[in-house]
Amino acid sequence: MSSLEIDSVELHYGQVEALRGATLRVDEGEIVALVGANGAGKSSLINAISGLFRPSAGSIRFGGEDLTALSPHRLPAIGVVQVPEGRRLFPRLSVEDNLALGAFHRAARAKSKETAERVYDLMPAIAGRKKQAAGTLSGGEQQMVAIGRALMAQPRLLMLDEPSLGLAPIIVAEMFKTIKLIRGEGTSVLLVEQNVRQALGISDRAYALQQGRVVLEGTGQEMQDSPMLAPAMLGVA
Amino acid sequence: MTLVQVVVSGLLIGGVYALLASGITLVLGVMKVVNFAQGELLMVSMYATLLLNDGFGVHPYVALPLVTVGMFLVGLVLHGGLLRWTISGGHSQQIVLTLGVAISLQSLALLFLGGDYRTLQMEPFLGGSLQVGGISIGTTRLAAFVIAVVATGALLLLLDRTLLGKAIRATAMDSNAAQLMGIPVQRVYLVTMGIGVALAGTAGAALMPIFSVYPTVGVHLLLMGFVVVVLGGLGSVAGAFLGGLIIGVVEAVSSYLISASWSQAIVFAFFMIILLVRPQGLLRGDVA
Repeated sequence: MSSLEIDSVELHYGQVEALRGATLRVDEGEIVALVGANGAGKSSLINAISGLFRPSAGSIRFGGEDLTALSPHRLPAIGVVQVPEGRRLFPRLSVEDNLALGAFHRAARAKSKETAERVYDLMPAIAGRKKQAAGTLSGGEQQMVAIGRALMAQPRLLMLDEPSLGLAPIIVAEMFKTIKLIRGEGTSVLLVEQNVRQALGISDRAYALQQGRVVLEGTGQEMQDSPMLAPAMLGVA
Repeated sequence: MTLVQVVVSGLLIGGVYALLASGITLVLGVMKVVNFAQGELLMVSMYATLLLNDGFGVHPYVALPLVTVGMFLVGLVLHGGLLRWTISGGHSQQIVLTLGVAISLQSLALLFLGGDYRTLQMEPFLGGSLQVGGISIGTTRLAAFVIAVVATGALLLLLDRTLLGKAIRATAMDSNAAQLMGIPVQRVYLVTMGIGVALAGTAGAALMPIFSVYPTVGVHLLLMGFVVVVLGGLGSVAGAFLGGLIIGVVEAVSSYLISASWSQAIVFAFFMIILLVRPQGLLRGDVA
């Protein structure tokens, strides 16, 4: 089973403890939201999964494989891809080239053309802009390219770090719809969001992080109804 | 000698400056490393061309692809053995390392090859010139220019059209995002350094039939290379080509109109004016 299992992960930046024993899981085909105040450790966790930061304790496994032993560039090949915060497109490369680079690992590269067609079907807004430099697109279109670029690797787990940041509400709604469609095709999703209501609205399950620990977990609905959610989001629970 | 003649000969030598500079600008743009050893790597390439000719009678233009491939391998070794350990270490480590390599290569050349100025002895093959519309063009200068155009064109095609080239540019723009997309950034750096040093190889072999070689020949040329890199726009290969031609012409025209001993001063004065007017350089630095 290709699920993500994170157990008691600790992460330090020098003296600062960003994660203090975070434990959570994402099962196959789930959308799981990760919410919490600024500095709660959401991005630290997602970057620890991606291998950009190394945990000082605990384990991170995907489909039984230990991710903490792998270089970041090896993750797409085993099915874990992150859409980083702020989109981080290659701004002076075309939309088409950005997508092509998303399919860099060998298995994905062989199917690059077909996958690109699927991405354009999923996101018609960017299909007409294949030749345009990614940096010249609108924020919403850039976010679509960023998600599309990640899909090019044919991920089994897609991690999105603050995808709604800086986007108009109508674009955010459209993007969350796209995320649901992606899950519909069998990809699990780990969604880090500050846009809590909407994120919980599309999630099967969710975790609230506070000061590097999971302080609340449940289904999307349970979390929305919980009196503990607001304090957790404000960082005072 | 007419002014047109001077401009043409400046353009031709500018091609070689461009080639040297594109190796520096590529490595700078992608790896954020200023390679102070590029001049000495050029010197090594010149000696390699000379010695292949002296020892084995290899024509310099036959030696050129050999030297280019050889220097590509030198670049791999230089990166794999030394530079890669400093990539995360910051600029001061890289400066000390590449300067150290530069000084070592100079000293080794002095020790083993001596301090004499040495030139290729191939007059029957290399001494000719073409007459075009009243202008005389030295065949070796013309050959160097053609080689520079072909090599720069090939590099631009590689960067613009191939997946490897796009991966190199993507790494230059955002190495973390490139990693997250599965691009093996360390391997991209290795290949980039190989290509950068290979360009010094091509430039050295093309230059050997025109210039003399001596252990410190790279010092002057590297300085010109840096001027060209900054003028063209940091990290821009096309800019380096344009900058190389401009600097070649400025140097030639000023030594014709004023005096050869002033040409360096004029080049740098011109360079400072450009920087005042357009401090970002002529073209945008996105490697291609």
